[in-house]
Amino acid sequence: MKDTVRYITVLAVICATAAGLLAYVNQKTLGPIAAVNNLIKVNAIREVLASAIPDLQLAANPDSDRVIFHIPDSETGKDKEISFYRARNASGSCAGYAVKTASLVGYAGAISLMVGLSLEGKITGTCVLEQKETPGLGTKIKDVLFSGQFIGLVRAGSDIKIKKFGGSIESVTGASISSHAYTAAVNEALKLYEKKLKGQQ
Amino acid sequence: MSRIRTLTNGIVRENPLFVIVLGLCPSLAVTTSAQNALGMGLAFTFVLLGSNIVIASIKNAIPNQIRIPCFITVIATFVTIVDLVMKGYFYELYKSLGIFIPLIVVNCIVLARAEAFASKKSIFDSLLDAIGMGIGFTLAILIIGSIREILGDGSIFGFKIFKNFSPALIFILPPGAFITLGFIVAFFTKYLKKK
Repeated sequence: MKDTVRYITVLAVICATAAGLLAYVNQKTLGPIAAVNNLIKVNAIREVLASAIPDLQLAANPDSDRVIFHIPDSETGKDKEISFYRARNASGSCAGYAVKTASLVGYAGAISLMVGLSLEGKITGTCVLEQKETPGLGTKIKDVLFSGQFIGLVRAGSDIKIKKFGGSIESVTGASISSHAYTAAVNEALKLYEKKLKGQQ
Repeated sequence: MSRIRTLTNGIVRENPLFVIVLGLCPSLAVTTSAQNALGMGLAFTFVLLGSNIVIASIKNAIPNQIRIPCFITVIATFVTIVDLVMKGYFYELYKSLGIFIPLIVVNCIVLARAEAFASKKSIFDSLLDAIGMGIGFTLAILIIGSIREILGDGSIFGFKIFKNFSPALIFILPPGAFITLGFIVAFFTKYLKKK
């Protein structure tokens, strides 16, 4: 009994010290982590829209100027969040959208990406936000050689497809899992835009 | 054992990776490039330094029966600090090391040094041991990472070193990690390991 109390006391003291230390570090890094996350988002939005909207203006925190939709994922049926960040030009009117979209069926989990859209629904750029694809293979979806293929495309009635399925997008690998997931995520953004936002500015 | 021997022990004679062959999971997984390897090595060294010093200083207060949970708590605390700091200040590195930073908690080298060394020796010796082991581990994964990046991508630390080079992709993939490690361990065993 005496031993048990001693064990509990020692462990409790160690854990309490650890918790205190971590609370302090967490407090200190909260700001930088939020700033980094915001910067990544802002950079991605700029990257996909810069060519189409040269006088792009963004809120310091883009989250304050966006439209969020929740839709079931087309492949898995799971709930998925797609955000449309409004891109304003120098005069303050909405000149396009940066869409944060995702596919849940990459080769290794979800791939999330940012797609730039002009008001008429034309793709102005795409870039990867998060992915866990095979290094050296699936990760090539990050290369401009792949992601740049989408620039200028529109969803004219039917989905954008990779070459394997009769489309125009050159896959990064033969198996084309990453490429297909990427294309599917782009399509969902386009479809949602046509259905919900197009022509409403 | 002299202090210098304590310090240099981990670098060659008892290199955690090439001789003791511990902690293979993170070592093989993150060594796809030299930069990842260096980041992992430094994160690991920091955790090992912290845990060795703390454990050596509180070893007399810890009852033998609950030493493992105590060690793990100390190690997990340092790992979480590294995780948070890296996320806030070195995001690119954090992104490429991903899940393997939290997994340093269960890296058997850290726990093995706590159990086999820090819980028995003085604080100063444990500090030397952590520095030696940290250098040994960092050098080891840096070697693996460099070889894999050169052969698999034709570059080192992201700089292309060959022109018109067709890289052997397998070295970036998991089998390449095992092949590389196998050759290095064979080399170590033949030429450097003391009988």
